[in-house]
Amino acid sequence: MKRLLVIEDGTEYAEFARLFLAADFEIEAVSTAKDALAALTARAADALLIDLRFERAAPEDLVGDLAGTAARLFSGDRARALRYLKDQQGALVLGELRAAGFAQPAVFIHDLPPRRLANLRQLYGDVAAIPSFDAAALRVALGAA
Amino acid sequence: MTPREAALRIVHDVAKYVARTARNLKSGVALDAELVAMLARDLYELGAKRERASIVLDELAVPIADPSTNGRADGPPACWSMLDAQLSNARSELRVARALLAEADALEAPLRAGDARAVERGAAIAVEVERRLRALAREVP
Repeated sequence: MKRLLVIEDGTEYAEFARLFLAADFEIEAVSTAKDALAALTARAADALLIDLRFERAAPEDLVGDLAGTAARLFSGDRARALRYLKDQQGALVLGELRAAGFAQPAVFIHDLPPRRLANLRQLYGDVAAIPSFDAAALRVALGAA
Repeated sequence: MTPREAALRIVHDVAKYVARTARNLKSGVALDAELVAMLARDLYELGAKRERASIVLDELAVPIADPSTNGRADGPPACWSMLDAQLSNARSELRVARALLAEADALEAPLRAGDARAVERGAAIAVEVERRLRALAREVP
């Protein structure tokens, strides 16, 4: 059976995957980039299902340099930089995984604008976005079929 | 938050999650306890704070329901009027979504208890709320 790694700051994606995708995938869930790297190193996965916004993550668990992001993009405003890092965390986590050599198909459940999706594909290769928790569409995007 | 930003947050934080279970159910098939519990979480324990979807929507919709709170303060009064007019269709969708979620809130006890009619109606409401909120977002400039 194929293996799916779910990366999110809560439990909604994993809960959904275990109820609606379990016939196609063995599912493992982690909540940080560090744990995702450890999980993929320990055992290969066939696909990645990644939350984009990590609203509940502790700042110390986020990928991204808060002070550097604040200085570079937000005139030193750390609160806005933290908001940005949380809002983009899924893409930043994917960047870490790609940098470490993990090239599995990655799927976001998000209304990504076409230009944003194209940009992610240019940066990170095999990336798809599904706007809803649509199990049938996700199976296809994750390569279950 | 501007009305547009609010609309995008509503789609992500409410529309997407409220129908997480409901949009994947097979019609006519009774739900087991695990699916009923997940449907209940979608409607009544949404997001990081585990709040009702109706409450999350009310909080996020303020810039659309009343743009004077934000998003129009930077422009002259003529811009406010134009924005208000542009938001009227979005507000119609918002009113329908709110009414549907109020109906869902009233169903909480029987739905959590697994009453078949309440579960079926709750699931139908969740799917319709997602549709309405996505329509709302399309109407917000």
